Amino acid sequence: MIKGYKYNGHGDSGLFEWLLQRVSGVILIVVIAVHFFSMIKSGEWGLKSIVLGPLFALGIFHTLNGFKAITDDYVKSTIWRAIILAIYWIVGVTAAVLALKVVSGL
Amino acid sequence: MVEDNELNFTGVCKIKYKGCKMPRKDLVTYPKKVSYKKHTGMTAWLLHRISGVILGLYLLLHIFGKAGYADWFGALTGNAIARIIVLVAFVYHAFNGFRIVLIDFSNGAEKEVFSKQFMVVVLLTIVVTIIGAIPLFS
Amino acid sequence: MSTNKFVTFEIFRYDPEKDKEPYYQTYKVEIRRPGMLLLEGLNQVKWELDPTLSFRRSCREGVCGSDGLNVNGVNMLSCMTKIEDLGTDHIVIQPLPGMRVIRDLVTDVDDFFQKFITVKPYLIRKSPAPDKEFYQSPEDRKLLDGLYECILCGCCSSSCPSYWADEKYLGPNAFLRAYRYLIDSRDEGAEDRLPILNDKHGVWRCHTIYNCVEACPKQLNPTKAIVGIRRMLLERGY
Ligand code: HEM
Ligand code: SF4
Ligand code: SF4
Ligand code: FES
Repeated sequence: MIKGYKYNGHGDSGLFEWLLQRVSGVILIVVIAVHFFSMIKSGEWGLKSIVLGPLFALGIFHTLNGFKAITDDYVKSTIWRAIILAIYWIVGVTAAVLALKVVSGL
Repeated sequence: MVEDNELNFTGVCKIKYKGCKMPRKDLVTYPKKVSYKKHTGMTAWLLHRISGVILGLYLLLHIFGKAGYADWFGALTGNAIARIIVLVAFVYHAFNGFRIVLIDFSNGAEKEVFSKQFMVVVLLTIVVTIIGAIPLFS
Repeated sequence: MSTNKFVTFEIFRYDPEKDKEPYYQTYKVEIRRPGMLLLEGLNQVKWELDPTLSFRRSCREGVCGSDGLNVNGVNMLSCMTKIEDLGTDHIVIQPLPGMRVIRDLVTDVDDFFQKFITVKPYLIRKSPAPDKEFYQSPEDRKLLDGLYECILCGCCSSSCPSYWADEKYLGPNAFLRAYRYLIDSRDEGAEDRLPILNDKHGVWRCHTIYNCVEACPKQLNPTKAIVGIRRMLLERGY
């Protein structure tokens, strides 16, 4: 017997992450390029908070959301997925705190 | 009803097929003579993944390093090979990522053009990597 | 290609009632006419060399969608593929990846069909039916070109890395079919379908890899449909 599966479209549908992955990606192109090319010269622009702020915030989100996509593809066990996701959160929050420290120390 | 342990995990159901409850994900693993062909899009995606992981690890360690932890990281990334790898990964990931964003937001998923789009990405990656590498080494 | 030439078929074999493990068996197939189809080769094996080989086929002209196979690593229909076009004399034939194997080249397509049914692949009407027909202008009809031709062969979903990775992923075929109704001027079922597609196992799981586009024997473009559905979801603020 053929009958449909149940898909509801829920809060964690993935729409928001998908969109933010793209938006952050495009902004990251600009800020990383500025940071990179300025650091090999004087570093004057590359350390401005208008560059470093988005770089850290969006970079950490983009990276860990990307890692999550990879985990979802290769890790089958729900338990392991939850553990790995928790690790990503811990790493992400730690990195964000350290990034704040770096920016404020400049 | 079939118990899980009556099933083998080489990718096909050992017992008579009827009523097999084996999850599909475990069934794709029978020994394949030929794995799926790496079309252009698949190659682009695998490279995007690999470059994404390299960049991600770099970014996280860069933050930890600058904050005073993971000191060894500075020494590791100081060498020329490491710098070139990160540069290539970034330039490729950026252009290919931009290609994906363009497809998504300009309705550009045409079969005829996507290999060409990918060639543009490769070409831009090579050119911009060289431009970026010159100041790195001078 | 001259006649009396032979090519080798290396075919995936597995009979759950006899075999412990799947194995590959090699057959020598005679090329009997220029432009000979892969399906003719398979028939030759079954009718003349080894009657125990199982594979599906019915219409032998690319209409029924029964004979999707993985040939030298690419999904295709055996009845629409000329052996000479494969460009090699050694042809490895495997069942469609990402699906249960029932026997030899026969795969279980239940899951694939259930995902197809899940997206409600039929016209949904909410307003009262008109007196005569549901009129559709030629321009609106044109929008369905490249969507309605699907024969449900499964080559697309079975070629998709996301489909392999995620058991619940609806897959390119379901998206193409959903889109075919979503942009049909006569259809009023968008609110019923879009929440189903707006799922972490739905359109957001596609990585824009294009394997499905490469595989489709009807030259359809599921990726374009996926992009279209995402746009609809974003525009309607889901
Ligand atoms: C420079 C501009 C960038 C753009 C335009 C960009 C774009 C994208 C896009 C569109 C995706 C989604 C691909 C998909 O859905 O399959 C993605 C994935 C990813 N990105 Fe980026 N990205 C950029 C920079 C970065 C950086 C700096 C990092 C790391 C710090 C990074 C790490 C990743 C990772 C790990 C993934 C997941 C790969 C996958 O899902 O296959 N990206 N990127
Ligand atoms: S484009 Fe999307 S649906 Fe098609 S094969 Fe790739 S991931 Fe799968
Ligand atoms: S979209 Fe193409 S490959 Fe997919 S089921 Fe339909 S005809 Fe087959
Ligand atoms: S036999 Fe019907 S599609 Fe090939």
